[in-house]
Amino acid sequence: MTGRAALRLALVVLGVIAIQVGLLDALRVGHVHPEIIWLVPASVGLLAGPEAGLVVGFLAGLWLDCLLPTPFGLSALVGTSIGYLAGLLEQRGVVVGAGQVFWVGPGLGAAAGLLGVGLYGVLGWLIGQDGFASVDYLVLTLLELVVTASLMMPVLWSVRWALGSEGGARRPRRRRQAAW
Amino acid sequence: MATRRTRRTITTFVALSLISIILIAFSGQASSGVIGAVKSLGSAVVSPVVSLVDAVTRPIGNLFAGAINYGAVTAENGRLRATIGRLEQQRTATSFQVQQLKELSALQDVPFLGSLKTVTAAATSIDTSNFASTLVVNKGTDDGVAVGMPVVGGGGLVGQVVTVSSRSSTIRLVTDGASHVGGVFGRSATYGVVNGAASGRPLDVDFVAPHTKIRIGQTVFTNGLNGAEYPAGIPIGTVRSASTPVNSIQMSIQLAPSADLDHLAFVDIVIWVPSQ
Repeated sequence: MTGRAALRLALVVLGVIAIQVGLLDALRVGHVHPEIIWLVPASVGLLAGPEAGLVVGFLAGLWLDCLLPTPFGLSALVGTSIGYLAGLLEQRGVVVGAGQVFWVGPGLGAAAGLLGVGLYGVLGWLIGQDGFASVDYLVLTLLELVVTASLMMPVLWSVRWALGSEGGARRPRRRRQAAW
Repeated sequence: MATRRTRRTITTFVALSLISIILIAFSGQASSGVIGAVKSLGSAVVSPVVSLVDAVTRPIGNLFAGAINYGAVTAENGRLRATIGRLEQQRTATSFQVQQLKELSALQDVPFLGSLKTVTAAATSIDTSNFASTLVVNKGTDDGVAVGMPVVGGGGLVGQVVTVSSRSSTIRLVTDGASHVGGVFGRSATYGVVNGAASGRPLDVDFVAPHTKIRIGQTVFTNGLNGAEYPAGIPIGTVRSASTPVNSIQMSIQLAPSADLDHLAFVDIVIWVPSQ
């Protein structure tokens, strides 16, 4: 990954964190709100493969950890896993856009969101964060499904812009344009 | 070629996962050291952008909220004016007793909230994660705020500062699963530890002997015992239910938080650091 692409990705991560903290945290149903940070490593993985996905997931998670009083490194671990798994899909030929039905992108976004909050809850509980078991998972799941599915494509576009030629470079330009 | 690349990817995945696990293992012990400094830096980078997003989106949200709730807001404004009038009256009447209490507390070396300096801060965001009850406010080290300082507002104890940067701080609310506060039931000599569970859930009290006389509606205050993380006399919550389960070695007590944690616009950070 070039330095310019890394800088642009950092801007995208910063933007997503800012939208999360400044806007989506207020979008509450009961006492839970949607979390969209997991869409970033998922998008990078889907566009640039597992290695880029897991590195960006680790760094974005670490950045998010700076804002939370939960164990430092937990978001990084979840981000790493999501980026890696999304990258494995890319390696197996899953392409978001060209030749795919419209719901593939939103569907993968929803899956990434659910995996993110699920993994975070389970790992946190395993390391002794008892409060993680008290979260209203039913409402959180529904909220996460709707919001991450809706925001996956904008995040994917932003990540594609950030990656430049590295994002989906293996696919011909005409097919990519048709996809969006 | 492909195999070498796959191997490298797996190695990176394992390495970063291990680093994360090591960070998790050490996050508790080193929160005030290197990790604390990293957290402050990360928070300092994000907070101006968050403030910008907040400044753009808040008026839009306020416009809709104001339009929808105009009647309720006007009525609440009237109630608040009346309350302020009553409080002013009470303040004058009780100033003498407060002064006496301050002097007695100073004599006994017990930190009392009324004698401590506070910094008023505005809330910028609440509960950044669904898994932690937190509040981010717009005051930081530039205003004298430090990790460990208690936070009050909305009628009682709000929580404790856990991360601080130059212009913002993150507060762990009393309802957070990792929050544990030493409490005392009213004027009795019954002590316990008040634990949080999650946002919107009641607080639990541990270490109260079976069949202790506890009243529903009784207020639990911070006990300020030697080495306590909070000064004495801050209301934590009121008793909602209290019972002794069969064969239990302690009572099962639930509290409703005294502070209105769902509507915190401003809080006071108490300039008081726990003694080590």
